Amino acid sequence: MKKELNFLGKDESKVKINPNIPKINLDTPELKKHLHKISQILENVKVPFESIETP
Amino acid sequence: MITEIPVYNIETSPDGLYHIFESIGSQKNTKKMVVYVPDENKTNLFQLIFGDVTDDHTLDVFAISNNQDMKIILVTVIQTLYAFFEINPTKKVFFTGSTDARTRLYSATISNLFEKTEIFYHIYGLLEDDSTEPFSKTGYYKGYFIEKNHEKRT
Repeated sequence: MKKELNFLGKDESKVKINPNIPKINLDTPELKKHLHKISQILENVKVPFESIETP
Repeated sequence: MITEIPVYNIETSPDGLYHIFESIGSQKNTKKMVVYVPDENKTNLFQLIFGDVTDDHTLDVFAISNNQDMKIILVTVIQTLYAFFEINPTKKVFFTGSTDARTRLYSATISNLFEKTEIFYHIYGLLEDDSTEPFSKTGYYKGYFIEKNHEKRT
């Protein structure tokens, strides 16, 4: 476990890039339902950043 | 250094969308993953979700580990924002708990963490009436919008 959390991330050793992270399946009914629920929450929300676009 | 807070080691995919770490408990260790998923309606907005990696290689966002390390996990989750924004600096993130109860449970810890990260990110809170306001430590939010602060980086 690391101490001295550095939100700037100047110490890159705290986050290691790994191209071999095991792929997980996000295409499950539970996850799709959960992600859709969040999208529904966001659907009528004016997102507070200028570059967000709704297609 | 902002403060001393324990954080788990994180491994990040090259695209910055997948982050894996291990929750360490007295009885068992649990593999957890943070995933940034594109929102189905809003371009450039990613949903931050996290949970336990299951034996069948999916993500259980409702899992309860009982490792007594919720704060460390939340710090680690917030830490993944750094890697995400380093690789995807123009993208935006929405973060909420997997259930209303969890959002309430996380609220105080998240507020403390976001207060410490405000100079690195622009953060807005989503209020109950679906309006938003700039993040305030004293506010209660059902979710958070986050973008990288490109102006104040030191």
